[in-house]
Amino acid sequence: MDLIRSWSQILFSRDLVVGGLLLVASLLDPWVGLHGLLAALVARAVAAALGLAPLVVGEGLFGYNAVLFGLGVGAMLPHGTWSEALLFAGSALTVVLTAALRDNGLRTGLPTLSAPFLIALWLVWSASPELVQPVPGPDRGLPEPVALGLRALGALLFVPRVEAGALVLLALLRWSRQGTVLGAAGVLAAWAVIEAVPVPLDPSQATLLALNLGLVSVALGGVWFVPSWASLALGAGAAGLTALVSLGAAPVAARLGLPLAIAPFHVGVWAVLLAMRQRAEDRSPRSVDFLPGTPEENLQYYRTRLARFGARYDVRFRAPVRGTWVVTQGRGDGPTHRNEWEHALDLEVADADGRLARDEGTTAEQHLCWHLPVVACADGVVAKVIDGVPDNPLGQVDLDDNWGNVVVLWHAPGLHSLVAHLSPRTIAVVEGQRVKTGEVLGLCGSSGRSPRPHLHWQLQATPQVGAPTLPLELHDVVDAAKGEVRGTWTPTTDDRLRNLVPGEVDLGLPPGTEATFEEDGRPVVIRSEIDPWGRRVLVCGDGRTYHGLHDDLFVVYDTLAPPGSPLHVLHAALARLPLEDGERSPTWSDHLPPRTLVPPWLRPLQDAVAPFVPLEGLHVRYRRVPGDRAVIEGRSDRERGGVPVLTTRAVLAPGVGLIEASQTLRGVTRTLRRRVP
Amino acid sequence: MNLGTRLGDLAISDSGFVFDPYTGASFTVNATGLHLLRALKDGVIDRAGLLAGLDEAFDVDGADAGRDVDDFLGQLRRYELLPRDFELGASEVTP
Amino acid sequence: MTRRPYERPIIVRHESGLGNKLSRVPALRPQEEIDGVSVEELVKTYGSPLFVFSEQTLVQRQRALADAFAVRWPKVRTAWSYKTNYLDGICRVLHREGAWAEVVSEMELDKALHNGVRPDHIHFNGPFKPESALEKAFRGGTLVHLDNFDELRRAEQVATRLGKRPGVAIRLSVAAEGIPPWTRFGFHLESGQARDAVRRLLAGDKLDLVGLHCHLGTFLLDPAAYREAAGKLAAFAEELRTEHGIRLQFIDIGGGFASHNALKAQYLPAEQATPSFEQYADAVCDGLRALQGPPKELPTLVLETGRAIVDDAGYLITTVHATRRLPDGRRGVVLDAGVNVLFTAWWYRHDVVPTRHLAGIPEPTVLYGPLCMNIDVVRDALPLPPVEAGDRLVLRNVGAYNVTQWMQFITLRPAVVMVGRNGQHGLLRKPETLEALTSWEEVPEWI
Repeated sequence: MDLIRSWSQILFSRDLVVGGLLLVASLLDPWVGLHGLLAALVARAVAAALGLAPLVVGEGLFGYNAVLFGLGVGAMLPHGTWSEALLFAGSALTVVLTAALRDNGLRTGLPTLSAPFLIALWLVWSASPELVQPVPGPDRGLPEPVALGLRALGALLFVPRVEAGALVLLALLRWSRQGTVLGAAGVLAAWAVIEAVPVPLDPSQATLLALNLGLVSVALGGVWFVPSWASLALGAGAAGLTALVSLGAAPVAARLGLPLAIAPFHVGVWAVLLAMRQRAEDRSPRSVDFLPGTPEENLQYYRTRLARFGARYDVRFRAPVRGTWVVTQGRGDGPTHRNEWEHALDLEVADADGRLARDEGTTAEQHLCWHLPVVACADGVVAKVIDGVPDNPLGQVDLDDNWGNVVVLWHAPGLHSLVAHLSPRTIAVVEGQRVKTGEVLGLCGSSGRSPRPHLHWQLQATPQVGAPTLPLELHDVVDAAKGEVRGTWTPTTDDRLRNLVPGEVDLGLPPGTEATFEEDGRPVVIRSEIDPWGRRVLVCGDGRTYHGLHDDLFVVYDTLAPPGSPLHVLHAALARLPLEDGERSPTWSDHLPPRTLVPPWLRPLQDAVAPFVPLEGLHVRYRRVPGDRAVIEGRSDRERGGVPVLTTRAVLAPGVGLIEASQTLRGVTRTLRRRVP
Repeated sequence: MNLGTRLGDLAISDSGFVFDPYTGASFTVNATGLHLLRALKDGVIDRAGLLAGLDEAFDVDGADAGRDVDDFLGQLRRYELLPRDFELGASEVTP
Repeated sequence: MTRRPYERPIIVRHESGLGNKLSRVPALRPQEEIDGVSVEELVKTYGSPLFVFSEQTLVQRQRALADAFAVRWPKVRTAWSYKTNYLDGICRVLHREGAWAEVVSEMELDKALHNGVRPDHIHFNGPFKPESALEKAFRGGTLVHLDNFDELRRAEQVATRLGKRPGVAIRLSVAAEGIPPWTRFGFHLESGQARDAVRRLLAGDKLDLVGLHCHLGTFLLDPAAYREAAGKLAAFAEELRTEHGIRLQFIDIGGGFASHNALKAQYLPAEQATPSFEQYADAVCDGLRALQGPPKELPTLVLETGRAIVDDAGYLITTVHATRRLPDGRRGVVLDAGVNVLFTAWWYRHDVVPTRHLAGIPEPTVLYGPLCMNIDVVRDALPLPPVEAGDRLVLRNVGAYNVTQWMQFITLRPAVVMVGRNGQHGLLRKPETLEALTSWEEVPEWI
């Protein structure tokens, strides 16, 4: 299986049909195809010998470079034992290089692409007396751009013939319709360049140009950036850049005898990715900072993530306090939250009658938030601590040390949080210390510009005390007035908020275990795992549901599964689940991705239109029904004929976990029931 | 029946403050108590007279004034403002 | 001449010495209604004497307690102390607010289950847990707090027999400055007995240690004792973590918070002496500060508060039956409720409030009950203006222990009612009848 996946990964896919089509396409030139297979086998053996992670090997991620290399060797090296020896050596080398570069890639965030293949190819070139460029096949009566495109597709596999290209096109369509469209756009651009350039290009050069531009267009238009008008424009621009690189490097490469292959594609993608990193704000086009899938998947994931989580930050912020506090000064409010410091919150504690202090309220100590613990709003590192500023008597302010006692936390590059006016000698952390969400930083006080005890909280880009504020968001925090968990929330004055309390609600699906469910009498096995990248996954057959499990919340990030997969039922019923106990449970809502909810025949249309038209997911409201077992009911806002389009239900039993999940979508009900031994 | 000397020596104010110079003790009486003290000092030492005087000055209706008068005198005896063996006469009788 | 209104004539001597009792009398504002329902209507409907509970106050106190701790500790659980008041109505109001149950006998365990409490939402304390109780507890997942070594052994036997491995807690007896230690319960911490208990439990390998419990005393007016005890519990918990790798699920600091009653020997009035929930919370959470980390790693703080929640919510309406003059000059008042129904009269100076404005000067008064027993004194040394037979008096802060500890002695026990948050009222417990009483009795056939 993983052999075929090595072929699929050439097109960033793990689909067996994609791999199969590519394999067949390469076998149209049997010599080339066989070398590809041989290389794949060598790679697999080497990977096993090196003891590389079987899961990653199974994805074909260590094989695709070898396949490309094998195809290249088969196509370009003269027949002979020396070439076969180079094949073995080179294939082994690609595995090693892939492993080495993958680790680097994870750290820098730059994809490895097929760099190992290129390096191996070039090394082989130096060891081999001559290289023969594969000759492009005839047009076969197709219009020029089409033939160019198909040949280019075939050239990907070193079989630059329209027949091979047609099979690759099928594979491409199978992988992604949007991707195919992007590729076609790239090919068209290449054809335009070829027509425009005064110097005539020889056929193999033209084919390679089309291939490179096509790949760049797909990669930047939909794989590493979320498909949109902006990403299309980026793809076009990058194609232009790549064309320049291609044409410019071609004569140099020719003189050296180096095969250019898909090097320009790599240069183009890396250059653009690095350049785009330097942007002040990551939007339009929005880069894919999650696991890239097909362009369709990227778009859907991003859209629902936008709706569910808010696009602003990757860090999830909780409230910096325990229990219920009230916002006494919100954004843009009052004398102090203005201009650069607009986005900040002042928090205090009020009693049931709304009073901020007890008894007469004439001293700082009588204020209800006096000396209450202030906690970290997200995981991070303590960047700055200021201590020693005395608390003010009630009504007085200290304008010299404006901020009073302060703790600044670093959460991510360019993202810090600050809590101010803490009480002196109560700060429990030191600079450089790592803290987790909810850990105590210090006690609330009244130091600095603080006439009465309160907590000031803001987000900022630098660790400087007094830096301008960034827009503020709280995630998965309870709006105490409404009794609702808000996925993304910017509270304003008089709002009351609190964190979810981590409880004992448990799904009963710890990683490394399996649970057997039943749907219509058929067994459904769901396995809970942690993948090599540290992500939590629920696996069922060919489908995966990526999810996060925090102390207080279970949330589904994405489900990549065939349309009929039971995982979609799980996703709908459990999209987001606060793990808080208690009879007075808050309600919450979530957005479900539209793709899975659209009937299959409508999907291609939706895919085509999606990058350009805002298509929101389905908004579903959930609540927990009080009782012995945790019963969670969901109901979509959208109705048809007075009945909600989607209703869901999940039941969790104490000690066991999830025992039932069901959804009713447009009248059709699917139910999963756990088989409890 | 002899009222004894203590009652006569009491300093009584209109506000109900009473001072006994003999022991230095002070007391508070309410309006009806004040009335009774004054009546006793004036020489009304029979039950009927005291009750009539009370009824005249206060809206007694329904209340068990006889019981209350006995109770009040008991307190005066207890505080030694009246002799221990003091008893009210049935009607106005000059000792 | 218009006649002035009549009052019983009164003469009161001024006392010297420790302040004039009469000068410290707070203006007696009469209480004509409880949560909007008039006292007279309640008496007319249910009779006198009458225990009345205010749902509003109950909920307010419960929420105030939970809120005071919630802003200081990330995971807080209140477990309603059943022995304080186990009337179903009271328990269900509190469970509705999210409280678990804390029980100290098999009877209370059964009552909690009868109230619909989940078996695994019950903390089971106390020195007396027979095997049947332990079995019931372990079957349902009830959290048993072990009191002594015999109980530990018994628990292991029961667990083995059931084939279960229950999570249990151990009760610690902790010395804190200023309070008498209750050494008859639990394993002593300072003497090392607690460590022995843990080692014994681990060695037995039949039970999982998931919690620590400590109950310092009753009606503790100084929160400092809690700070010290919590500090010792936290240190012990850290020791368990570092030495045995035990990560506790909960730390239970028991009950003992004072209500707004005044003890008989207490000098200061309750308004000044009783600490607020915030003060107790400050002390407890400050004591626990040695436990650090994200909320998931911190144990849940369990509170077994009873009296401080329910006392203020309970009232006793009683009617004056007769008045008398005592030889020492004090007035005696005979009420229709005595120490047989008001057990807490033994140790509190309950607030007594009339239901109408009482004209007149307060006299030193003694309130007696209806019993023909010399010890039946409901309230001593009470400055009270004159009352007449038929007058109603309301005794306040009687919600704790009275309706569980009362005796059926000489008189039938009266009704208990609750006034709801919307002016509705209803029975929590019917008044006793002679039939009910005699239904318990049997007469052997030879008599």
